Amino acid sequence: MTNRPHRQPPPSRVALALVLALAGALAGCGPAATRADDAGALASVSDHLDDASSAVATAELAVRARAAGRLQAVTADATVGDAVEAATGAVHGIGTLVIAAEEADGVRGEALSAASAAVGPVAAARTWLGQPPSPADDVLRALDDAASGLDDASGAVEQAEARARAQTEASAERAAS
Amino acid sequence: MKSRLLTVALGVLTAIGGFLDAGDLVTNAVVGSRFGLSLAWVVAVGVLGICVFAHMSGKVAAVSGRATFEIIRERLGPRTAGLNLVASLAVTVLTLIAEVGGIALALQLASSVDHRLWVPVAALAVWLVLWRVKFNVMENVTGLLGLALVGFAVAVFLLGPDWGDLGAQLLQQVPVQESAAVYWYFAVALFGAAMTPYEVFFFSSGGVEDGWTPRDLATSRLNVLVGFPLGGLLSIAIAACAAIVLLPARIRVDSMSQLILPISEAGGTLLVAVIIVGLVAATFGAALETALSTGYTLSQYLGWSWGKFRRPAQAPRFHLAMILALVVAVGVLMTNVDPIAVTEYSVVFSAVALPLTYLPILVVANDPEYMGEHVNGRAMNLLGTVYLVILVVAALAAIPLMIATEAGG
Repeated sequence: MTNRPHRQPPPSRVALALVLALAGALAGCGPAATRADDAGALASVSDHLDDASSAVATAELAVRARAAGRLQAVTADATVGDAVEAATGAVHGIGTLVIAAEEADGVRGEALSAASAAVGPVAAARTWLGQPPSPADDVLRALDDAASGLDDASGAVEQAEARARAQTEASAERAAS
Repeated sequence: MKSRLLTVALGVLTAIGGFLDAGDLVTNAVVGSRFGLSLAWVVAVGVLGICVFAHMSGKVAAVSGRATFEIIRERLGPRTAGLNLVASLAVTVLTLIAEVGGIALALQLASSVDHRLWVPVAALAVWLVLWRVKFNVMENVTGLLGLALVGFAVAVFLLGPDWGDLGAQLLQQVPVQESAAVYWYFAVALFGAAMTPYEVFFFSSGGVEDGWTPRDLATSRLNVLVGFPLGGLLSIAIAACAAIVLLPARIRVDSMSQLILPISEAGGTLLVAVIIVGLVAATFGAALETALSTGYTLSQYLGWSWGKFRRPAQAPRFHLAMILALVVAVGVLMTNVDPIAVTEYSVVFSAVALPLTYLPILVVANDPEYMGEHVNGRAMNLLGTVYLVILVVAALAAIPLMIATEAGG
């Protein structure tokens, strides 16, 4: 122990330390919105594609039920309206992800195209519901095509995700050795 | 003389509101569309748990003629009861927000008018009923209309599933496409949904509103044994509908409207109309329950006069508390927050608050000063203690699981 009197840090330093701690905490929270690594980001892309596929399948079931006279027009409209929101949300989700690696970013671009292409048929299904009764064949065909596009994109994302994970594991092993 | 059907109306209303509120409806469908029936066991565990504690709570009301929360404050003191109040009130208001949003979503299904436009209408309707309608009329009408949700059970049979396959899902553990953490996150969420704290406070206060005495213990028991298992069965029926139709179509449920798709496939427009009536009644009933629970808990803690058996002028602060809660609900919903997301979070936070709610009930139900010869027996205490351990585990696991799985992914 020394005989020097204990000095309190000046209030301005305490405030600075608090601000830095807060900024650090906020900076730490930031990457959670995008994911720290490419494999994680691709997993997010995969989740959003699942949401888009779910929206397309929802619209398809609603259109089929309406065409068969098993669902009221207003209820089908509300259901497909929610599906449009879900499909749009998936496009927004994929579009705002940041991926560093060029190859993985290319896969993300393809996924974004597939998700964007799915919004049109889902919205068209809602338009069909608002019109006088007509055959639903064209609407259903467009939804099927959108679903196929999303399936292809999901497959590509899963493969890219597996590759990214393998690379991450290999890097970790090299670093450990 | 009341008919036997109407004597169980309180239990039916509590169960329909407690088990089948906006969040439960969606959570059960989410679970069915992702896990099939592999989490049905959680509903069974939750039903038994809520039966145990609702029975204790109803017994306290019938024997003492006072609501559980009043006695908790008197018996455990203002500090402990205050902790209980803060935890349960926060979850209850969160749930009220979701219920008002749920009514709006159900009305959107019947009208295709955006749910945001229905929110003020729904809140106004809830307030009018709380202000003007007698408690027994309110519980009978919403409870009996909520029975329209039996349509989900009818739909399961009409869909003609492969029963062997459906039964096999009951024994399945974590499906291959889901992680164990997500499975357990939804297990905790379902458990929290089944044992929402407001249910027991509403049930015991409702018993006082209905004027239960020790002679009504059989009525209380009947309410518990009919109402809650019925709610649990309907929860499983919703999950089964989703498992039969939505799981194979790879539909991930994220809105109330998707609940309708299996119904339309099973029973067409008529059954859809019946279910929509049930959805409006169930969410409306849950909104009434949660608004009343807000008034009950606050008034009982602070010693205000309370109850719908009194005229509003005789219990002004009780009614003011409910009005304020409804104003908060409308205000939050007007920020464009997703009502379904609010309920899903409220269900998880409910799991966190569970031990704080149920431990005091167990303590009061064992106090001979209040309960006389009707104190808990050994079997009831054993069940209560086992459930308290489960509640603590669920409460500790809820938040870490929510963070680890990004709220179920």
